[in-house]
Amino acid sequence: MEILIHKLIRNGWPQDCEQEMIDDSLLEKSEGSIDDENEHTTWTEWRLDGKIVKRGAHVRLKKNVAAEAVAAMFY
Amino acid sequence: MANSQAMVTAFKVQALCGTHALGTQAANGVRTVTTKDVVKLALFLASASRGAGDTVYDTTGELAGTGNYTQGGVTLTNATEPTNDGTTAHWTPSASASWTNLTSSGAFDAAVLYNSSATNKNEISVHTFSSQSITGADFTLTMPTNNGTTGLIRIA
Repeated sequence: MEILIHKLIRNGWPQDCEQEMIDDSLLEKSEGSIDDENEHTTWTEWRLDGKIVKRGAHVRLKKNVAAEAVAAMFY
Repeated sequence: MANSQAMVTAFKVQALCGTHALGTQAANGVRTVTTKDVVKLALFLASASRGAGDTVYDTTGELAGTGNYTQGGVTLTNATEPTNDGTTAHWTPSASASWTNLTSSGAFDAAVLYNSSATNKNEISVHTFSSQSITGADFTLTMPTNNGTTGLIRIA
């Protein structure tokens, strides 16, 4: 299967295109994740000769911002 | 400096002044809000310094407008009215923010919400996450569960 990769720059490859198709068997695919109190994030990377040529991510926010509402007492 | 997660202080002041309308409200003897403000979300480089002291959205430290990213960010879907959960008021955009086939101009770790309807593009909040670099692929930022504990914007 072929996938679209971005800006593959190396000798002998087309230099004049932003993207090109490449057989995914040539790429090393890896996935990772972070899960902590602030976020749950997953990402997928594709490397060619050790260089990242495609990387996507999904961040799910867990932590919010809050304002403390205070109604002062009269003394 | 680095980006810091925060509800912008100026937004708190403006909330007391009635500057922002994240939801609508029926006639209540004071004012009627029939049109919600447009809230946008923009992505900022890990080298930026966005935080509680911000006042308005600007492009300082934002991803460059390249690689399918447009400066100014994306409009957030706002289909759910602000509400309360016990004594905590909360509001959360009702859909994820996403970019297709994005190539980021650098590593980014912050999303800035701002009121796009306001002339000054008043900033609302800064939300940080792990540093990400995207290369020719999709990036999605999913909102937390909208309740009194995890809603994106809370007044407790």
